[in-house]
Amino acid sequence: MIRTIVVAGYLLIVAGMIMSEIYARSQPDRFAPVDDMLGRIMRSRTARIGMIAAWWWFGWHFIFAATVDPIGP
Amino acid sequence: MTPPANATTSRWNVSSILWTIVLAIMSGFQLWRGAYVDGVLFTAITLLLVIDSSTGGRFRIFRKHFVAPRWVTVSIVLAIGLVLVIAPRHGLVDLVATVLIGVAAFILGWAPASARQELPARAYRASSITWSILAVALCLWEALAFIFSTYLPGGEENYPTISVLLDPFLNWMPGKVIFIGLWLAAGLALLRVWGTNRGKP
Repeated sequence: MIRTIVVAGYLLIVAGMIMSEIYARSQPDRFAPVDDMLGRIMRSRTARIGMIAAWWWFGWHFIFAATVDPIGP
Repeated sequence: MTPPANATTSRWNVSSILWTIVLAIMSGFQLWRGAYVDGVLFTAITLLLVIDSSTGGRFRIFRKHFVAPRWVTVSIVLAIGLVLVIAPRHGLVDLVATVLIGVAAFILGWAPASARQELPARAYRASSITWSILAVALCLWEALAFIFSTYLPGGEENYPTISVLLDPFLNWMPGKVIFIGLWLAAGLALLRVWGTNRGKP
């Protein structure tokens, strides 16, 4: 039951992302598509390097690093 | 060390302050969870960006931008993708390939961004706020799952992180091909490889 709620939370957020992009494609003057929005944000070097670092880390984490590295007892 | 054409993009403003905080939180979280290499990398990037913003974006890696023909870029990315697919996960080959990708992306990302077509400001504001909320929600949900899986009964079975959910998919060869393909495509999109004026200030 708890696992289902946790997974549903992830799916809900991903669904929100997909819906946002679908809406943006139909109403770009009201809601910028993610590509345009990122293009604007990434004018700043800090944001650009931050986005690229996050993207790179995602691949690094799943392809090379130990995927699950828990702490605690 | 000459000022770039659009040095204003590397000065302190609300966006750069928020991004620096996000990167600092990421550094702290990685160190806290015991991923020291990840933590040190994010800390180094954060410090470098703090120095860059504090000096008005004067630091340049190269005087000229590297603008390779698209077929060259795509060929290199396809070759690296093939290597990543064939090589066993968590091996030395993966380490070298992902580090090379990271260094190349960092160098390309450091260069000034190209100009883009403008939409109304309200469209950017609505989109930025919505995506920020969604991204923060995803990070919090993931962080809570990780903390609960560490300290509460049931562990990863009850509170799976994204890593736990995706791991079996990545151990399946077609899943690995899909993941690496999407990851590299996202990287090319972030670096604006398909833009018509990449690298022009």
